[in-house]
Amino acid sequence: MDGRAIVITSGKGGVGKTTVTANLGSVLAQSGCKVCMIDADIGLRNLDVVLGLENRIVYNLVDVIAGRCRLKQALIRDKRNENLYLLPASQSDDKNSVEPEQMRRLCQDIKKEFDYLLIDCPAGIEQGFRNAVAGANQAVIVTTPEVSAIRDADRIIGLLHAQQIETQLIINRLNSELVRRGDMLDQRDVIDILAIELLGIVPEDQGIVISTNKGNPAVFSEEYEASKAFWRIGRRLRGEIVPIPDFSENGSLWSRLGKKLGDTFRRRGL
Amino acid sequence: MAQEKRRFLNTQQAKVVFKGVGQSVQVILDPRTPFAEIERELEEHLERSGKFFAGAAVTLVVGTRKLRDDHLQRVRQVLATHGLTIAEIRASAGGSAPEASPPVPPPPVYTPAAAAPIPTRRETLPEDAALPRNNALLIKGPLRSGQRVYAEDNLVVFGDVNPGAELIAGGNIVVMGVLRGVAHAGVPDNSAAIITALSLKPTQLRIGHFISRSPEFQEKHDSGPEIARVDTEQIVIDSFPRRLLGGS
Repeated sequence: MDGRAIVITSGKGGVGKTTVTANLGSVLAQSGCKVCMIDADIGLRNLDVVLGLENRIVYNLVDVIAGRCRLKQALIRDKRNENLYLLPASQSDDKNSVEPEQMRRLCQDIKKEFDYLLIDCPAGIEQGFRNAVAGANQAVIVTTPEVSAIRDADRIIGLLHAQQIETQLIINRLNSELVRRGDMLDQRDVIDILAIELLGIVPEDQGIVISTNKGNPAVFSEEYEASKAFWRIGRRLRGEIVPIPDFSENGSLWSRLGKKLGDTFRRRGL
Repeated sequence: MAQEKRRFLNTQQAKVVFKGVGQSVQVILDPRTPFAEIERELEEHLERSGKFFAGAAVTLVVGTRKLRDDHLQRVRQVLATHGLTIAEIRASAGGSAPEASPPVPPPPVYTPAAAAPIPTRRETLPEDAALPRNNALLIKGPLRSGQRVYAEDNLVVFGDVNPGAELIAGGNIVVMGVLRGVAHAGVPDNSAAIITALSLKPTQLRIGHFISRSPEFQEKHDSGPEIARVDTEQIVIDSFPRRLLGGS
């Protein structure tokens, strides 16, 4: 078995890389794939908390790389799904304690045992980023519909393409109400700039906040809109063709016309 | 005035350089000098050095120049009359895409060709005028945030230029896409340069030493291809003149 290593990255912090990793990992495991998640954010680990696995950590990624333990000893099995594993980051080291080449070899080893390897990348474009992408075959870029997040995503995409890594995009925290009112960039604006394949859109959903704080990924409770989006993204990752709902679509012609007029007046300061 | 000065400075530099590299000899031709001048200087150089290079198989370094066949033939002849042969021709990547993180770009030495300004009116061109030949660096887009491209002369980008990306050219800049980043044409001082794009929504435009930034509230509608140039000491933007495209 030789799985796919996918790095979840964004450039900017706080756009939801860790949440996406946790939910996507859970979805893939729930649909029967064997999934390993690596928290590559050494020194600022979060993924274990979001998954509610913090109290089970004995060894971590740096221990494995330094040879202080075997890979099997450091992997934590998820409490909800036996196909899901986590390799936690070290909280006491920093990003420079690992080299890209070591990460590449580690990913190679893990890929032999799993269908999917999801790497949760730290923010920034320095050593931590270089480590996280070193072993990846493809990348999922997470952005929110904000110009600053898009700018950073654009930079990251440039860096990944220079390394021949394929990229797909997830637009996170899209507020369809704001988009309808014309107060938030919609998916077309984002795609227009980033010009890469759209893997999915996750709507803004307070269910994510609730479940994240409980250490229980939202996808385990299916009633949230965001979890439905993650389920769709999981199916797309596995090669299914699932349409992406248009969150900016507003049924009637009159409301679209009204929006256009509203925009014009607002611009002119009327 | 400025162009005269640059021309003068240029004559100080050799157009043809002979350089020993290891066991071999490199003949470096300045890529921006007209061929006639190269030819003359090559002959002079070989004349001066007498039989010194006789028998050598040299590496011809043409840089970004697109050496025409008949010109190459001529170089071969000139070298042959002094007993030199060409072992290898080396050209630098004229149109390769930029690295995302280039290894600290050397401070560019801008010697924009003293190219005639792009005529913006057809009637300024006599019927039989030969258009000046220029060098252009062709780049495939999209250029993303943090990427920066230098061209010593003209620069053509096929694709979008995103915010945070930067184009710098000694000559003109043409973007076959949306220009959202920063573009600096006519570096350092050629205010006759132009910047044109299929959609011109730049963060900032610079031509020669003139700078302009986009209006704070940019209209969202698409205005079609536009051209930026310097007119009466400021950068002005017009819709791309149809005249230039040969329309009515």
